Amino acid sequence: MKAIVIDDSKAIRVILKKILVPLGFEVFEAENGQEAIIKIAQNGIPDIALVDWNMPVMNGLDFVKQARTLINLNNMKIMMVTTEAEMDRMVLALESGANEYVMKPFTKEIIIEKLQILGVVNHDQNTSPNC
Amino acid sequence: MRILIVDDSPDIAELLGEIISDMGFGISVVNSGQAALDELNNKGPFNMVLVDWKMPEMSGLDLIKSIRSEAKYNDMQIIMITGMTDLEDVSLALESGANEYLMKPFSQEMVLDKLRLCGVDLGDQPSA
Repeated sequence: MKAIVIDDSKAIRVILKKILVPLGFEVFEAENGQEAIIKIAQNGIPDIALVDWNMPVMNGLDFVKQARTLINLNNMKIMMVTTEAEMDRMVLALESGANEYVMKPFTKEIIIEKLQILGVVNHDQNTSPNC
Repeated sequence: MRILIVDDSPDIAELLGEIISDMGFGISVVNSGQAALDELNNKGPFNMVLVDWKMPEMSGLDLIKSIRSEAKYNDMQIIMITGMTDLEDVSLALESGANEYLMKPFSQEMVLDKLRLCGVDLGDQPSA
């Protein structure tokens, strides 16, 4: 399974990678939506994209919209991971094509739970509370 | 380190030239694909080529294919620089032989990051 973590914060990318790698994901990273498209072209289409909202160059919402207009990215699961906490923002992300929505700050358990909901992680995979 | 810049836009070529020459690298600038092939043949060797996609007569994509068709350029690093942002476009450029892909508009930091990804040692320059 492949995952891409798209966030302009290196710290967030590292934290999410530390959650994903033990679950068996091959993880690649991008600092913004544009870099994500390049990384996907270089590394292949991931099963799941974890996407921040507020990023320079191409923000997370624009990435989601673009991904959903591309036939070959249409089956990629997308989880928005963002500080945007307003309900209308969440609705906008989901309407634009995100499959799940996680608000920062997040815990390892929440990320794993969402991955399980999306069907990219089995329910019997490690959910120990160490993050 | 010698870098060839290929762009039919003088403004973009000048901007790239300033960024790269500020790093202390030698640059050459041409405004078409054919001029790039001539420059590579007559004034090489170059270590890297930065290629605009949309140019009249010979596109950047065709230039890359032409460069990759010659074994003597096997070690040449090529960065495609373009406003084309679709996954299909990026994939096509990479499959055609580009090593990296930079989308316009770009910043100095974005250019330097791509140079690093192509193995260029930039010394103490901070990453973006």
